[in-house]
Amino acid sequence: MKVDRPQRIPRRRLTTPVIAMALLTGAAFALIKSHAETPPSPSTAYADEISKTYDFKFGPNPFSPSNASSTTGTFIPGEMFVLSKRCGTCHTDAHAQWRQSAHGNAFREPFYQKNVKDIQNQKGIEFTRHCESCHNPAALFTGALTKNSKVKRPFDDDGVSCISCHSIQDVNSRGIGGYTMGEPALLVKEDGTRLLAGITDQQILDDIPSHKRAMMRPVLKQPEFCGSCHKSQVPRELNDYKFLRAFMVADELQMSSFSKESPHPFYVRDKETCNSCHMKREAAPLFDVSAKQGKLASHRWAAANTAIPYFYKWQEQLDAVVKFLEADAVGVDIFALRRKPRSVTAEEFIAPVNRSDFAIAGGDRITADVVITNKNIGHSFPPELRDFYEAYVEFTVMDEGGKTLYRSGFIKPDGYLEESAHNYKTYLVKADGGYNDKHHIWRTRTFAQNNQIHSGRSDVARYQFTIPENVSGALQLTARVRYRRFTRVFSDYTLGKSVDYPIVTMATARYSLQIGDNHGKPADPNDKTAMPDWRRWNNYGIALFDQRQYPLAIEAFTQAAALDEKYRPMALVNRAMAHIELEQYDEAATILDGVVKANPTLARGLFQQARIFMKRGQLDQAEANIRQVLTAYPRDRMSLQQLGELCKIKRDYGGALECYGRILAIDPEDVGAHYNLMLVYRKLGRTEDAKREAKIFADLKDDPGALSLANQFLRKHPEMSNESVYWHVHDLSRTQGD
Amino acid sequence: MIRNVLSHIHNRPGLFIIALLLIELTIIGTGIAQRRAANTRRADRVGELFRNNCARCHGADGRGKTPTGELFKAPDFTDADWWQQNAKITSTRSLAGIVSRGKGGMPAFGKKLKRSDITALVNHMRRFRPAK
Repeated sequence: MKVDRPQRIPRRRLTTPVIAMALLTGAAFALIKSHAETPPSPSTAYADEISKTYDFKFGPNPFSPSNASSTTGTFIPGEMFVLSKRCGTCHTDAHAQWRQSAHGNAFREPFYQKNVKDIQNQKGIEFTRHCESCHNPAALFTGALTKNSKVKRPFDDDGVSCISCHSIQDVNSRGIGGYTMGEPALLVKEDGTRLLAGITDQQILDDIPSHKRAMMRPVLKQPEFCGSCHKSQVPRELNDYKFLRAFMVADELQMSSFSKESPHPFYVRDKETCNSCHMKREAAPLFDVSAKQGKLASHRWAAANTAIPYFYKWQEQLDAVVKFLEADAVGVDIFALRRKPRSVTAEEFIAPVNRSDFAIAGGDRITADVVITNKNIGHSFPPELRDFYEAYVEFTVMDEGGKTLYRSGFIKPDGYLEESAHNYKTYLVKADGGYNDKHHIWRTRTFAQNNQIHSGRSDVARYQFTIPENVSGALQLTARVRYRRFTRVFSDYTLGKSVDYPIVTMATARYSLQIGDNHGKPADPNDKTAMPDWRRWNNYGIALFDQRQYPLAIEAFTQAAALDEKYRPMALVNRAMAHIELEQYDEAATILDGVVKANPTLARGLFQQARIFMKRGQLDQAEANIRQVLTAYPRDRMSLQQLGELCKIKRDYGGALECYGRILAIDPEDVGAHYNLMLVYRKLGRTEDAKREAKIFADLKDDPGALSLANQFLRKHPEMSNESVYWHVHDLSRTQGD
Repeated sequence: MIRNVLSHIHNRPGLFIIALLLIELTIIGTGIAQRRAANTRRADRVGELFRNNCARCHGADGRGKTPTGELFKAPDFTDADWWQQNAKITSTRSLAGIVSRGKGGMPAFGKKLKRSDITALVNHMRRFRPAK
């Protein structure tokens, strides 16, 4: 009988798996051993030590109530935040510019110090994490912002330091430190190894590519990067109330004509970013290593902070900021007059005033319409913190002898701005109904006024006065847009004394009003700096539109359309928009049908036409238009919102979710998107998701109860009340001059 | 047509010679302009290299009168005595070695810059030396 012997496996076939197993086992042992023996990294040991005494008052994220996080999820040792002075060894010009900038002084300058000490004293140091995420990131990430902290703070003088900005790895578009801080490194090798401790300048010089990898990445040049701090809100944790949006500069840029991401602005402009305006190339007289052709991207970020350079007596920085503010950012135009002679009820409308023939006599009541335009700013004017910045319009009427007959928007002898000035400010109201004029944002309950001019838009200020009987010759009308940082109440409060801080005149307009006959002058075709009349009419129309004076806006847009053939399609869309606001859909439809027929790719016209289609229930046509707009402008939030709505109506919930998701990818706090997500999730039976969205929506939406608080406040402050309504007139008989 | 041209040349040889001369001058002129442009580009590039890597300490004028230059006692390249007293290290080869490997407070640029750039920088630096 033959017994089958087990088949012998060739030795060679056995050897390979045995060796592999042995190797794997060995490797596993080695790994376990190495883990057992490797001491925790210095960062981990540091984080563990800090965590022992750190107050995690706001939950597991140690950096709340800011929106900042770190790549490691925990603290970063202070010595990793290399002092900017070291960077200045090679980056001489960038360092010198930064040193005088608002970033370089973001923590130590006295105005911020006053405010942050107030919150520290009133609420506790833990709450300052909200502020320091953007004013002193190193203080936040080292874990210094907790009671009785032993963390040494040599970085305080650096504020937003070189290494802070250049170590940021990612952003989340939420503002208030909406970024992820990486562990600082001076060199990052090709394999991703990060090197910092002990790295000498010579080692950096020997390996510039690794230094560049450590310091630069595409995100640093994106507007969302700047938006991680130039976007702000007061969260519930700070005010024990609810989310209050403060400002959102990067979002405004995204919606402006300068981003090229939205078809809705009134004008088409060349693309600009934060950097292209605020980091223009500047001479590098100190031979900065990064300079090209003797220039480098400015690290002084000239914008609007005149207070810091004035306080520290840095004339170069002050000059740069003033020059920036004066560089045609805003415009002012004494555009129209309304004349009402005594004993006549009808008003004569004269516009544009410098192109018109008319007569003026003593006793006439005049209303001057002054148009203020946000001409060249990629965000609103003023963009941020309007509660303690001061932008206003000064208007004066002088006789031939230089005597001021009437005035508005002047600085009183005590340095304060006259109360009834036409201004672009936010009035914050506290829970007790008082005026929050010291930027105690944690005590804010509501806004009684929040005036600003959005990018590319306009505002109109109206000044009413009576021509004196006894004057002759010409009256000089002057309008100036002026800007001061800060309000006098705040600077006096901070400095403990009354000091005149600089006021910058950003734009000026003059008109000489003859008693008797006035003759219009034709536009000078050779004057390339003058704003063309069609644009003046259009700006006036925009201002009227934004003040909800739609019939008057229609007239102004009609004039603009008649005067410029190139702009005509846009002006007609503007007119249609005003008709839509008046619910005159047939008139709007006729205009838009004509515009779209002549130019089937005009996204702005297509969008407005879609609004009409939706009103008429022509949903397929509306959707076709919106999809066409989104093909050209995929990040247009208004179109995404409309498409989401259409998807909802069609019960295409997947499509709706996609639309609202795309909106939240741009602005994670878009209240409309969260509301609609709540509704869609309910339809889909996704209860938990719906609950989450409902909670977010409840926090983001306006508190209806706050309105009565704002009204109570305005009743107590009649000047502010006048200013807070869209259409108001400044009666100058109450503020006569000399 | 060629026959016509040849006939013209035969009839008016003086004119033909003048035309040839003009063409030659144009070609020579273009060549000179191109060479000048190339030289200017080269000089611009060396100037840029010097500004970005050396001038922070040595100054744009080579005098070393900058904050870092004074800190590290950078020499004055416009000083004839300095060139004379340091004759041992001012050969092109020696200076290129210093730029490459560093000296005292001066870092080494050997890994950052190409050898040809270093040579160009040394030549650029020599221009600060006063004429004898």
